[in-house]
Amino acid sequence: MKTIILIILLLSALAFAMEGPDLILIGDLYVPQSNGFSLACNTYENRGVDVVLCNASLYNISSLNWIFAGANVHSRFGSLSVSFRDYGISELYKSTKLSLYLHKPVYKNISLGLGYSRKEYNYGDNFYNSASDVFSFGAGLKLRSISLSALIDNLTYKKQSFNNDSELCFSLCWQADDLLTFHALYFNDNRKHERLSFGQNLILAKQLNLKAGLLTCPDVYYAGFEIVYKSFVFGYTYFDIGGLPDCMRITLSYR
Amino acid sequence: MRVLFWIIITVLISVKPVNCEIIFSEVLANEPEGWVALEWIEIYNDSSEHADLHDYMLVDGDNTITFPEGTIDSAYSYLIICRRLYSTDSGVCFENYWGDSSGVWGDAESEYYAVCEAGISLRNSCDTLYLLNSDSIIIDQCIWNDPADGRSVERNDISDRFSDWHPCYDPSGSTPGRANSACPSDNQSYTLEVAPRLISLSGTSRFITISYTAPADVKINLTVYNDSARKLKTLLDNSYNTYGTINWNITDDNNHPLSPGLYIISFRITDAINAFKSIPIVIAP
Repeated sequence: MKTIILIILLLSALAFAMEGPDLILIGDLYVPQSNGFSLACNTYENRGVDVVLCNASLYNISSLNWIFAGANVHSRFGSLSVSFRDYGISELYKSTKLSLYLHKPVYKNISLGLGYSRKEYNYGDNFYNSASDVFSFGAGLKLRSISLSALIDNLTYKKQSFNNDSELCFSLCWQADDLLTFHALYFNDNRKHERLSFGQNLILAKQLNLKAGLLTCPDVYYAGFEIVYKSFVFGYTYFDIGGLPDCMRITLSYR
Repeated sequence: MRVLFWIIITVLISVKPVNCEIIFSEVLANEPEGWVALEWIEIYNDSSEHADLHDYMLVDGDNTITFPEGTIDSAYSYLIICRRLYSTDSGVCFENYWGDSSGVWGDAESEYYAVCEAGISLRNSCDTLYLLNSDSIIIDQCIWNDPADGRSVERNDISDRFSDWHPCYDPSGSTPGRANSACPSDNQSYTLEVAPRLISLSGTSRFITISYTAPADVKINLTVYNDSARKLKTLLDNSYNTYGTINWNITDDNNHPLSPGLYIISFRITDAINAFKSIPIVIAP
């Protein structure tokens, strides 16, 4: 499967959709699902609302559930994203997260973003409960067809040793033309773990987007497509994950 | 011509049939845990008659071993010929390793099969062992080549003395006195148990116990991932140790304690068979 995905990557002008930090499903979305923070300098000329609902099958563990729902409101003043994620295993672990992300152009091609998330955890069927508040800060710069952005994520104002998984991310996105986009991301978390991600997105036809890419540490290859019908978008992404069973994600969006 | 015919008939009648029903079924040459007196040979009587083996011989290189007087292999039964059945100097012996350490063989439920002691001395690495009947005719042989520590070699089919041999697939390493292990399919003959599945960083215990068993001749990888599939801790890396218990102190490879959250213990075996099992665990604050 990896080989097939690599061949697709190399031989075709495929595809990428800026998956952002939720590339491996569990991570959280900070910005509009359809854009991603590497496109942070968009001026949102297309005003409107995106609604997205995702469900995933993870690591072949049937009891592991992951559901994401989000809405993004775009205006000429910027965008506001609200998202909710529910994740866990019944009677063992449950995690919910409610996020707000405000993204606003501030000067010409520069934009800033601010995110707030409330995370709640239940462990062992409510035996242990905890909650934390985390913040995200983003900044973007758009230079013609290239977008640069930086994001500091998962910052806690309480320095709890067990909940200090902040991460720094830099991204570069090149929109080759209206149909083809490439991206590259670099992640570095507070444990000095580094990751790289590369991908591409191709709008093959008006009704069909193709995307593919890879991520290091863990080694994840993914490929997917989106079918557009009027304002509805159905997406499917397949993730080949090195050390663990594969994952799949199904997305239904209204734009 | 007629004379020749009668000579052939006479020769055929006078020759005793070779007893093909006594065969080697299993040999443990490389003792477990570095012991030197635990080796044994298992033979099987694949007939409905008792077999008196006191005239039979085992030949191993220059060593010729005769069976003790009165050695009987019952019909369709196993007989173990061990190097040391009882211990005289509180050292390890067959009875206290595979029996109940009472000093008497046959007084426990697990000691249901026949065992006799003989002066065998098998090479651990590679060797050939012959079984000769009372007419000094070779009726069976067993060849082993560098078996793993504590791992016996077993005959694929004990009703066929021409069948091949394989390393014992049983997680314990050998099956004395019982049916040989079958080649496992991908989804069986391995176990993975994790306890507790939920552990608190504020609790008194900071260990998760992981017990596993696997067939012989497989590589085992035991790894801990977080729920974003990042590898955090390698507990076993291509290990050939097919059973064991690990007390993991919920730290990563850099010895940093893990944050609360969901983690996945991945158990992957490769080579002789391929199988995968994952168990999610949770670390609470």
